[in-house]
Formats: sequence, C-alpha cells, structure tokens
Amino acid sequence: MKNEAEWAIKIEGLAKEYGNIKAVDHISFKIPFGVIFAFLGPNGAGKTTTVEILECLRKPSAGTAYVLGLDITKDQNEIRKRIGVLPQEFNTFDRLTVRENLKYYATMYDNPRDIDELISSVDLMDKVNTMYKNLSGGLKQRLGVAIALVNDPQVVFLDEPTEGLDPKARRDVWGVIKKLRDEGKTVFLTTHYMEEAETLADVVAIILDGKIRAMDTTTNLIKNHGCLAKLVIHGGNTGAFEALSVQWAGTELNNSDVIVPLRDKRDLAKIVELLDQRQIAFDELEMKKPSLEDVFLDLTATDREGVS
Amino acid sequence: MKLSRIYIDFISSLKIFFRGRSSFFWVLAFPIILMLIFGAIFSGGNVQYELAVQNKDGSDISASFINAVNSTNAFKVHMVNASENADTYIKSNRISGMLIVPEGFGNDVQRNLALGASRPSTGVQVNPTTTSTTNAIALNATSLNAQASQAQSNNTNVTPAAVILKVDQSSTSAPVISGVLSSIANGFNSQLTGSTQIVGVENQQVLSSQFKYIDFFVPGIIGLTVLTTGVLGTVGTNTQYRNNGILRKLATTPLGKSEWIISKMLYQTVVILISAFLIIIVAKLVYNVTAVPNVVTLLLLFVGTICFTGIGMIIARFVKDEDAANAAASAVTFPMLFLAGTFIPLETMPDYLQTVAKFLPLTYLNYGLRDAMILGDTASALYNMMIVLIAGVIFFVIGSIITDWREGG
Repeated sequence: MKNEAEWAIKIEGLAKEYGNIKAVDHISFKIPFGVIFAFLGPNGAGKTTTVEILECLRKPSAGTAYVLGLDITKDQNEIRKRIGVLPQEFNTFDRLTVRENLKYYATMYDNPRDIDELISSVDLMDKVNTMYKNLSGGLKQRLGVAIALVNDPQVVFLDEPTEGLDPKARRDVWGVIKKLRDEGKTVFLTTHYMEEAETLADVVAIILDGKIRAMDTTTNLIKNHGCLAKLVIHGGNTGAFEALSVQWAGTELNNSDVIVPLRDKRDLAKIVELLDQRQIAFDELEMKKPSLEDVFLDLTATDREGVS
Repeated sequence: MKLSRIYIDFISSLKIFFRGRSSFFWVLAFPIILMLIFGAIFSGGNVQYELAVQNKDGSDISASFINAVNSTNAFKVHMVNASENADTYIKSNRISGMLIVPEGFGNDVQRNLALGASRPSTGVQVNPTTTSTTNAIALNATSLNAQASQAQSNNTNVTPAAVILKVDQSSTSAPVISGVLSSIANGFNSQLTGSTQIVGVENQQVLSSQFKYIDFFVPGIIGLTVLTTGVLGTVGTNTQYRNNGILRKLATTPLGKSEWIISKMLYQTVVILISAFLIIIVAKLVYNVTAVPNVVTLLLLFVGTICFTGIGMIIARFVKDEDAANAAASAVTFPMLFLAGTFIPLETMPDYLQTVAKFLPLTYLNYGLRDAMILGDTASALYNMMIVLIAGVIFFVIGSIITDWREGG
C-alpha cells in the first residue's frame, strides 16, 4: 500500500525543549520516498530526540511532523503500524531465541512478514534457535533490523545502528541496510559516524545543537561545503606552512605535514611551483578526496568562529 | 485490544521465567525453603532430651517410676550403674541431666501411702550440677504439684519420697527436664493413690488448638509468594525493561499498555499458582498439612496478584533506577511480611502493631487463605477477599494509569 502522501517524512518548525535546554530547535525538512536519509551529528545534537518524536515516543514542544502523511500528534496508532524502529542501544528479550523474538514482534502486527524469510535476509539462518543473550553485538543488531522490518514498514528508523560494533560487524550491518534501499524502503538513519553516512546515505542532514546546519544529497554536500581536494605535503614543516598559509586559507600544520585545501583546479600547479621557487624541502605529496568529515569539520569550525 | 498480543507476551514471559535460574529459584524454591526452615524451627515435635537414670533403690515402685519416665518419650534414657558416683559420671560424660532414684525410695512411697490418701508420695529434688549455690537453694524444690503443696501445708509430717534430679542450670533444657519430671511425679502420685486430682487442667479442644504452627504458616508462605511475586516481580520487570530499552522498543509497536499489563497479570497469576501448588504439595509430604485449595483460594490468589502488581507498578513508576527500585520494593514487602502475620500470628503482637496490620492488604490475604485452605470458613474467606479486592482495584487502577511508556502516556 503506497501512500498518497508526497513525502515519506515532513517536518515543519519542530522543537523540543527540556526546561531551558533546546534539544531540537525549530527544524524543518522533507524526506522523499525510497531514499536512505542520514541524520548526522555529534552525540547530544538532538538526533535521537527528533527520531523519538517521529516514532511517537515523545511529544514536540512546537511544530508539526508527518510520517507517511500522518500527523504524529493525532495518528499515532496508524503510524506505529506502518513504521519499523531499531531504537538506540537496541535490546530484546535475552532468554528468547532469534526466532521467538521475531515471532513475538510479528504477533504485534496484523500482517507480518514471513519470519524465515526475514531471518535469511539478515543472514541469521544458523542462529534461529540461539538465545538473544548469546549473540554477538553485530548479530544482535542484525536481529534488531529484522525485527524493525517484521511489519514490512514503509519507513524504517535506525537509531545509531552500528554503535559499538567492530569494523567487520559494522560492514555486515551496512550490507543489511543497503538492501533496504533495494526493497524500496525509506530509511531514516541517525549516526555520528561520517563514514557510515557517506557509505549509506542518499541524502544527509547535519544537525548541531538542535539546528539543521546543512542538508543535501551526499555528493552535493561534499562539493559545496568541502573543497575539491586536499593536498598533503608530508614533511613540509613550518617552511611550507608559512609559505602557503598566506595564500590558501585553511592551511593546517599537522606535526610535520602541511595540509592545503584546494578550491581551484589550478591550485595544485601553483603550489608545486611556489615550493620549487622557494626551494622548500618535503618528503612527498599526496592528494586526498574530501569527505563528509571535511564538511562536518568545516561546519563545526564556522560554529566556533561564530561563538568567538 | 488483541488477544494474540496478550497471548504471545504471556507465553514469552513464562518461557523467560522458566529459562532464568535466579527467578526460578527466588520465586519457586525460596518460599519452600523458607517454609522448611520455619517449619523446622517451630515444629518442636520430637525433641528428646538426654537423661541419665541411676536406680539405687531396686524396688518395684522405683522400677515403675522409671518406666513412667521412659514412657513419656520426652527423654532418651541411659541407665547408669547404681555403684557409680553421680557427680563423677556427670562430669566425665558431660550430660546435662541425671535422675537419681535414691535407696529407700520404694519404702518412702509405701510409708506415705500408709499415712493416708491424697498425700504426695513422690517429689523431685533438683540438684544443680553447677557450682552456683544460689541456684541450688532456689531450685531445691521438693514438691511441685498442687496436691503436694496443699498436703505440706496441712500436714508437715509428710515428706514426699524424693527422686533427685541433677541438672546443669546453665543449660536451656534444664527447666524443661525438671518440669517434665515433676509432671511425671504428679501423675505417678495420682496413679498410686487412685485419687482424683483436686486441681487439674482439663484439655478442652477449641478449634484453633487443633492446628499446629505449620498449619498457620503454610497459607502465610503462599501469601508471601503472592506479595513478592507481585511487587518484586512487577518492579523488576518494569525497571529492567525500561533500563535496557525493551519498553522503548515495545512502545514503537502497536502493543498497547493495557495489553501488556493484562498479560503480565496473567503471567504473575500462573507463576503464583505454580508456586502455591508446590508449597501445598511439599506441606502435605513433609508436614502432612492438608491445605485444600478451593475456588475461593484461587480467587484470593488472583485478587492478591492484582493488588500487589498494582503496588509494584506504582513503585516502578516513581523509582526508575533499577537498584533503587528493587530496594524500594523490598522496603515495602519485608515489613509487610512481618506485620501482616505471615510468620507470627497477629494475636501475639502488641496492640499497636495489630492496628498497623489492619491497614495492610497482606493481612487480609493471609487471613483469607487460612480461612479458605485450613479452617474451611468460606464466608470469612470471602469477606477477606473482598477487602483485598477493593485495595487491589485501587492500587491497580492507579498503577495502570500512571505507568508511562511514552511521554504523556
């Protein structure tokens, strides 16, 4: 059943205050159907509060929000039937097996998906009769994702799905999440891992101190907020730093390495020429592609400037 | 409200319960262990005191006196050779009581009998084995029954034929041993003279006196199970599931708070029924207590579960930290256990404590269970059940309303 709604999620002027603390400060954005949306921000930025408002666990202090065109303050029962949730620090019944846990949640809904099919979609076939408490962290999260999908939801909320996992387990969970896009689900993913957002998301919103600081497709964000590339001059030392920081704003000295953000295609040639002219010694040159992390650091840096 | 959701939560709760060793132990085994411990402490049943007996007389009368001592089953009698020195024997064998029938005891008894009826023929002379002389004087009782003292005041010429009891006065069993021996002496007197006793205690059986402590205690233990499973179980589940995030996950599903509460109620009731059943079986096997669970008992258990689950929900709502919540739950349950007459009959408590007990729902549950299972007093059981039900509905409604899964209910 596709929804007549235009947007999977629509938020307008949403705010949540706890006393004097503005956890979420009048944010607005829209998420189209069928994308993986990453809500990226440091811990305490307001990610989980926003998600829990959308999941109808918390009431907003101001603003409106619609999930699948349904009002989160009025249509909570209908929303609950149609969303899937992997809460932060997900946990389920320790002394029930993988299958029993899935069966439990499947029974909560009117038209649940086939349990065996779900188990195989998250690769837990050989663990069906293992109790939840005996699963590793990665397998627990995968069961959590399977549980979030048990009602075949149109929107899936995944709150910090790979928190605390080792790199291998993280990649396995990513594999499961990527499959959701193929199934046409809209995924609302909160994370503070840049790499996770960059790997998975079609659209990224960056939240800092309860405010949306940037939102765009992942590629556009990097293009607009970052730079073309970064040039790392290994062993450049203060000589290179002093020579380049005048002309290239944002040049950093990191131990002996000098890092120069390139904004123009001709920057690289100019820098090499300058180093040659002044006979500045260095070990080697390395080009780095910009990442979401650069966007993020750029935004937090502007924040700090704004404060000071 | 969907039955399938209630059912799956109920079945899952039972699975989780039976797979958890600690909950299994605390809920099912612990009350039984407690019952066995208290049963053993208060049964008093077949305690036998060791008693050395030395017969220096050798007459038929002395032999029949020793027979009388033997036949009470209160003593494990060791016969000591007449030539032994009593004090040496006591010291070397470390015994706490020694009865000596002195030479001439038989003759003394016959002489007393010849002097007339209703005269005391036998008395017990208590000689402490300790060095404390004050004790020796204080306890140098020659005759301990009503007949004897009367006789003494009437006719000082008659000295009872005395057996001598040497006991260690520091021993807790000393008063019991001398008391039992005095009774035996009295009985012996009556038998010899054939007289009817002037003063005596006639044992008239009132209903409650037919029951032993354990009869009183078995329903109390079942009440304890209802209380602890209801309060501690509810607080434990709620705080644990809230803190580990399961409640948050459940709150995102269509499962309703009322479905969850009903399921948990049913689950607690089943656990309590299993526990009560085991307690009744063990009580029958070990103590031969016939506690008959009838419909009223089942109603009482159910109503009690409602009541204590409600109290549990209220505690869990206000004390959110897991450790603090468990401490708060214990702080509510343990005083209630003692004050509601679970271990000790209320009637033996001071008045002000009895007044406190009147305000505790467990008191009425305990009364009700005793009425229903032991005394067979259905009317009284139903009356007590109504009180628990009223308290239960109040606590349960408050608990259900204030239990919060999501912000703003």
